Amino acid sequence: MAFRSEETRNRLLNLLKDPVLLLTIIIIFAALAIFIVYPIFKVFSASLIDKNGQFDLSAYTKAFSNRYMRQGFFNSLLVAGLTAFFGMLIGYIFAYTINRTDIPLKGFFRTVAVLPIVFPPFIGALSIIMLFGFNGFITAGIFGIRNFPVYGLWGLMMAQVVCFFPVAFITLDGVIGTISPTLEDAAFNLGANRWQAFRKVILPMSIPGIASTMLVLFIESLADFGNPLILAGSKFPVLSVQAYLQITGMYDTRGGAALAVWLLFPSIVAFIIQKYWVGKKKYVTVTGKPTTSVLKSVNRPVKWLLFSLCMLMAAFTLAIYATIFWGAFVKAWGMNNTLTLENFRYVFDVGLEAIKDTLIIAFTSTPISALLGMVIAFLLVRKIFPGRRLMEFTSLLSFAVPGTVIGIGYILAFNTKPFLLTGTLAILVLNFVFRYVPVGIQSGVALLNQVDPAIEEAAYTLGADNRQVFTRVTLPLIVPAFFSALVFAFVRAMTAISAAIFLVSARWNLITVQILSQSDSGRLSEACAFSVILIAMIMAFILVLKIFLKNKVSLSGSESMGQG
Amino acid sequence: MSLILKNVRKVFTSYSVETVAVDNFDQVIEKGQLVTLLGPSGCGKTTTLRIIAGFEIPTSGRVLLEERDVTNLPPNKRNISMVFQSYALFPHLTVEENIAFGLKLKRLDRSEMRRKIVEMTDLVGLKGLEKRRPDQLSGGQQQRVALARSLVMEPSVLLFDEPLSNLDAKLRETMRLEIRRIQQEVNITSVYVTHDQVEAMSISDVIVVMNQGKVMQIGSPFDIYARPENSFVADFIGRVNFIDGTVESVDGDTVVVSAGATGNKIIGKRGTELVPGKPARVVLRPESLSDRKEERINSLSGKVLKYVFLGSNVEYELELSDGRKINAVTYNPVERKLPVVGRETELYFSRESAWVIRV
Repeated sequence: MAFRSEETRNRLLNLLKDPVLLLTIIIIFAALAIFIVYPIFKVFSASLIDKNGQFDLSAYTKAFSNRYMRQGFFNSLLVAGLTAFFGMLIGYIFAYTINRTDIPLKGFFRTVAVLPIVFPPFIGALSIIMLFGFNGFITAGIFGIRNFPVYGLWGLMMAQVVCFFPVAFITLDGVIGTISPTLEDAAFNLGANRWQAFRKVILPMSIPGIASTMLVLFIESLADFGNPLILAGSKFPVLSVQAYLQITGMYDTRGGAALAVWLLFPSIVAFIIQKYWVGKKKYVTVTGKPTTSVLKSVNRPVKWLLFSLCMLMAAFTLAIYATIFWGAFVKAWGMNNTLTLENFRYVFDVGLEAIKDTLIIAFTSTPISALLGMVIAFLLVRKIFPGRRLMEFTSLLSFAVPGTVIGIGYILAFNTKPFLLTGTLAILVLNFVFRYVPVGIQSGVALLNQVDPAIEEAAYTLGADNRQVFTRVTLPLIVPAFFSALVFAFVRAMTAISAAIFLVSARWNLITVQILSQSDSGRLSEACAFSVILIAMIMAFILVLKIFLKNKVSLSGSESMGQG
Repeated sequence: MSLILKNVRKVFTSYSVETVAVDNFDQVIEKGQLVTLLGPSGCGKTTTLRIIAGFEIPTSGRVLLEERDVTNLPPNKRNISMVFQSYALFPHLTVEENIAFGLKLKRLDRSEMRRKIVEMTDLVGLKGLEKRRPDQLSGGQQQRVALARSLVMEPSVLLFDEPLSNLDAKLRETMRLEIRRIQQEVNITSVYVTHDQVEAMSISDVIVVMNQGKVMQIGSPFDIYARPENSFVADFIGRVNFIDGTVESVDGDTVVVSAGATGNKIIGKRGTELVPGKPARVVLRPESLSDRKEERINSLSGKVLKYVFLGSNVEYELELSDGRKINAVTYNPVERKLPVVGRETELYFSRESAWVIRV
C-alpha cells in the first residue's frame, strides 16, 4: 500500500495501537454488514437468482405482467405522495399557527400534535374502521350509511395522515420557530403586507423544511404496513402488503422479494434526496440573542381560521384515540355497546404470552440500540478512520429501507447456517436494534456537535484512553440524546409491525401482531383492548423514565458545555 | 532538556489544497521554562501546541519529551497536560471530581488522592468551592480548576492554549500573574499560546514569534522588543517607526544609514548582517524619540500633524520634510508642555535605539 504521507501512515498505525478502538470499529462494521446490508442483499439475490443459481428475471416479469401487482406499485406511490402532501400541510398549519399567532390553547395543540408518536401506527386504521366502516359509529350509527368507502385510497390516506403528521409538525415547528420575527418586521417595514411577508419571506425560508418533511413522510408512508393491511382491502393493493401476502399466502419468496425491491427503490431515492440534497439546504438565522417581537403575522380573521383548522384536526386526532379506548370497553362495537371488562379478560387469556414477549424484546433491544447509537455517533463525530462515511451511510440506511424489505431480508438471510436465527428471540431483538439505531445516532451526532471537543481532549491529556473518554466524559455529556434514543427505540420496539410480522413465531409473538390478527378476524373490541394495554405500557415506561431522570441524573450538564 | 521539537512540519490537505500550518519548527525548551508561542491568528501556534499535546501528528519532524520520542504517541500516554481556551471542564463533575479525574485513571489510593487535591485547591485558591459544579463558577474560577486539574497530574510539560482570552481585561491581568506565580512555584516546563503581546511579554522566559507557519524570532521578551530580527517582529510587538534608507558604512556593530530623501544620516546599531550600498531599515520605537538632545546623536525634524493627550503621556505624529510620517511619545506631559500643531519640531534619538535591520 502506498501511503500519501507519513502522517496518514501514522494515523493508521495509531489505530492499530489502540486495540479497543480498532476492535469497536471492526465489530460495528461487521454488525452493520450482517444485520443491515446482508439482508438487503439477500432480497436482491433472491429476486434475481433462481433455484439453480442462474440469473433470472422471471420473478420481475411475472410480477410486472400481473396487473394487480402493477396497480400495487402505483397505489403505493399515490398514497405516499398524498400522505406526504397532506401530512405536511397539516403539520405546517399547526407549526405556523403555534409559532406565529397568539391563539389560546397552544400547549394543548402542541401535545395533540406530538402525542400520536407514542401510539402504535396502525391504530388510526383500526379506529377509522370503527368510526366510518360498516358498523361505523359516525357513518352507520349517526348517518345510517353502511357503504361508506372507507377501504381503499381515502381511508388509508386519512389513517396515515393522522399517524404521520406529528413527524411533519416536529420538523416544521423547528423550522418556523427559528425564523426570527424580526425578518417579518423588516418586510413590513419595507412596505410588504402580511400576505406578502408570508409569501416572500416565511414560505421561501421554510421550503427546505417542507421538502425534507414531505420526503420523510413519503418514506414512512411507503413503508407503512399495518394501516394498509387493515384498510387497503383487496380492491386497493399496495406493495408492502402484497409482498407480505406473496410470501405468507402464496409461499412465493422470490415474487415477494421482487416486490420488495420495487418498494425499496423509491424509498432509497427519496432518502438520498432528503439526506444529501435537501438536508444541506438549510437557512440558518441563529443570531445568538433571542429576538422578541410582537406576533403580528396574521390578522384576526385569519388567526381564528387557523385556530379552527387546528381545532378540527386536534378533535379528529383525539376522536381516533378516544374511539380505541371506548372500543376496548364495549361488548361488540357497533352492535352491542354495553360496557364490559370482558375484552381485557380475553386479552390476558389469549395474549399474556405476547405481552410478556413484547416486553422482553423491547427491554432487551432498547438499551442496546440506544447505546450502540451513542457509540456510532461518537465514532462518526470524533474519530477519523477509513470507511467513516460508509459507516454513516449504512447505519442510517435502515431508516430508509421499508420494514417489509428488512423483514423479508431477515427471513432469507437468517434461516440457514451460519446465521440460523429464525424463530428465536435473537432475530427480533437484532432486527429492532439495527432498525431503530438511526435516531440514536442522529440525536447523538446533533448533541455531540454542540459539545466542545476540548472537553474530551482534556480527558485524553489527563491520561484517559478512548474507552475511558467515551464512558466517563462523552456518554455523560450526551445523556439527553441517549435517553431520547431510549424512548424512541422503546416506543418503536413496542409498536413495530412491518418487519416483525415476518419474524414472529409460535414461541415469540408480539402484541402488535395480535392486534392485527384480532382486527382481521373482526374482533375489534379485543384489538382495542390490546391497543389500550400497549399504550398504557408505553406511557408507563416514559413516565417512569421521566421520574427517574428528574431524581437521578442531572441534565444540567448540557447547558454548560463550553463554547462549541 | 525537557522538550525538543525537531524540524516539525505540518501540512493540512483539504480538497487537495495544501496549507502549511507549521514550517520547520525547531526549538529546545529547558526544564522549568515558560515559552510563549506568539503570533497573529492562523500563524500555526495552536497547531504547534496540539502537535506537542498529541492531538495532531506532524507531517514530518520529531517531538522529544525527556529524551523519549513521543511523535506518534497518543495524548493520553504523553504525560503532558493542557489548559484550554474554553477551560473544557467536565460539566457533569464537581470541582473536586474534575481535579481527581486524572488521578482516578491512575488508580491512586484514596488518601494520596485526597492529599493532592487539598494541596492543589490551596495552590490555585479554590478552597471552599470543591463541591461546586463548573456552571456555578465564574470564568476566573473555572480557569483555576482547569489549571489545578492539569497540575495535579504532575505533567512533564504543561500546555496553555490562549487560557485568558475568555476573561475580561481586569481579570486577565490578575490571572496572568497567578499563572506565572504558580508556574514558577512548581517549576513546571510550560508552553503558552497567545496572540496578546502584552500577555506574552509579561509571563514568558522565552517568546517564539510566529507568522504563517514560520518561526520569525526566538528570544527573551527584551530581545524580541528591543532587538527584532525582521520587520514582522518589530511591527507585531509594540508600536514602531520604520525609516528606510541605504547602508553607508558598517563598523563593528555601528551602522551609518542615509535615510533617503531627507538626506539625514542615522547612526544606529547593527541588528542583522548589513552590506554597504544595500538597503536597510531603521527600527525606531516612538518612546525613543525625545525633544531633548542631551547625549542623543541622531535627530529628525518635521511638522507636528496632530497629537493625542492620554494623561500620562502624549502621542503625536510628525511629518518629515519628505512627507514620511513618524510617531512619537513623550511622558510626563505636565512637566513638558503640549506640542503645538503645525510647528516645526526637532526630535532626538540615541545610537542604541536606532536598530538597523536588513530589508
